[in-house]
Amino acid sequence: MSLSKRLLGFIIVLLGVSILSFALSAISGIDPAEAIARQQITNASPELIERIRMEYNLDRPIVERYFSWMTGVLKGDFGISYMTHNTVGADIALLLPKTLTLVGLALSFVIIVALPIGALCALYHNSIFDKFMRWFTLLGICIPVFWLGFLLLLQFAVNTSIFKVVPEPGLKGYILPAISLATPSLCTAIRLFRSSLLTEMSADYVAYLYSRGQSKSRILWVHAFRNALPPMITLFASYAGALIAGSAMVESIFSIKGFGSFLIKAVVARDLPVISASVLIIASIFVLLNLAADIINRLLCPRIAVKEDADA
Amino acid sequence: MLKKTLCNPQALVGLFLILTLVVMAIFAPLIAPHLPDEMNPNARFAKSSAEYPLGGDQLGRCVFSRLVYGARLSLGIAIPTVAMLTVLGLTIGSICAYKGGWLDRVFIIICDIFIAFPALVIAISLIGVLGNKLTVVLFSAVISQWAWYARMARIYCKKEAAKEYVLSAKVAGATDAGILFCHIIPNALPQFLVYACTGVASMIMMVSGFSFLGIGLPTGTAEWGAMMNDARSSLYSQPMLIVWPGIFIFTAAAGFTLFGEALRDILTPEDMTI
Repeated sequence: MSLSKRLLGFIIVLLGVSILSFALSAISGIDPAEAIARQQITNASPELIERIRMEYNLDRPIVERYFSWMTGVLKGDFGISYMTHNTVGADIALLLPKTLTLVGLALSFVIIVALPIGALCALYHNSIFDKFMRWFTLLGICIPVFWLGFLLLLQFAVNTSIFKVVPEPGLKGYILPAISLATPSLCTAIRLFRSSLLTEMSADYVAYLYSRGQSKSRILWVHAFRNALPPMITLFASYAGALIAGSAMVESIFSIKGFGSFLIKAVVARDLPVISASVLIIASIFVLLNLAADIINRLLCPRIAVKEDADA
Repeated sequence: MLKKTLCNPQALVGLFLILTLVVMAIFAPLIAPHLPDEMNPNARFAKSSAEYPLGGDQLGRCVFSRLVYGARLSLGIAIPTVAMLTVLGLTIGSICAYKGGWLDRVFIIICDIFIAFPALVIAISLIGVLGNKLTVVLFSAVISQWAWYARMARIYCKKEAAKEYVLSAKVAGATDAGILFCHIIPNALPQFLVYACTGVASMIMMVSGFSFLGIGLPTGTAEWGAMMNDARSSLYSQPMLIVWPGIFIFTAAAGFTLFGEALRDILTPEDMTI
């Protein structure tokens, strides 16, 4: 697929994502007019509900509402939260940086640890280290994120007071949450990079390099490493999206007031504009990062583009 | 195949864990010393004893009994959901892989749209529609996961459809449905079932993660994730109340993962590197 076709596909997917985000809140049994009215007065009269329905244009057909919502979104206007009475955009802009810091820290932790360990596993294939890591990573995938969060909290904040139980200012407060968020992803990443490297190491060009007398570690670090990266970049991109959603659990354990916990609160309060906007933002970040991964991969390994164009 | 499985230590450990879990779920009333919701005021935060093997929780319920009954919920939700996803994914994926063309292209775009929504996000949006019920967990699992299963099935079936015996069958006059259901699906099935086996592990973790956040199951249910949520208020005085359910979730997920990954090594030895 050429890049222009990919971009077209990207726009179609983004459009579908926006429709689904809107539909998820629109099909809900909640009457938004009633929800707004009850925020103002607990026992709102039917007349007030009707007036609000007219005021917020909620009596229009759903297609029309989608388009007016979408025009707003394109201008950066996500509507007004029923819960906080602020604009949704302002609320999210305030909270998203915290969650992005957490996810960014978790992701950099995954990248920094997974690549060297995966490479060492491939370099010493079938050694004791490799076998140990295979079991260790397989079991690490099965650790529930929220449980790990509690264990870390108990160990490092209660038993030994390296960290505090209450959220700490600055990056230090994000270390434990990021580790618990990152661990399962880290284990998958190590396994994938190891297998990607091993596949590379059985390629023809590696045999050629061997015959030229190059050492195994030089071939692995200098030549195979770069060629084994594309599946990892795709994986990291898809993790970033999943980690943003997963941060809701970690934020709740470590009492960080971030985007994830805000979303859960919005669901409890039935705050439809916040739900649609949050869903749209999370899904769009996911789609965007996947596109970015695709482009990076093409720049890193031009042969992918050549191969895909031949397949199409 | 069977012999290879029985000689593989990883597969055996996985199988042992799965069987233990299944036995626990089926014979829960015989294994558990108490009913999961039976409260005994004297057993509040009880230390472990013969009567309360893992002690009592904040309402004086037997932790061990609740964990044993929890296996019923975890398996009872995870396995049917994955079975449903397998059938759905295999049907959609195989048809798209075999037909190809515009159907396949539209399918890939639809998959991309659904994959962009994490399960948790779909679940919390669906609560508004369905109320906070178990069906929310099922629906959100299916809506968020079907695209992954269908995409996986498509890849396996595409590999199979490109083989020469499919062409021979076509030349011999087999119908499309005949080729699909008698040739492609049976041949792609083993690999796909391995994928589903590890899928059970992630489903177990997902269900308990949801109930930890209070999604799907009412608080106080004897479910592993919900138990951890209940124990949060006494985290610092009674840490074991959180540790035990976690061990059960971890062991259950590990059983299916170990078994599934070992089966994959056996089925596709060329991918042994993974």
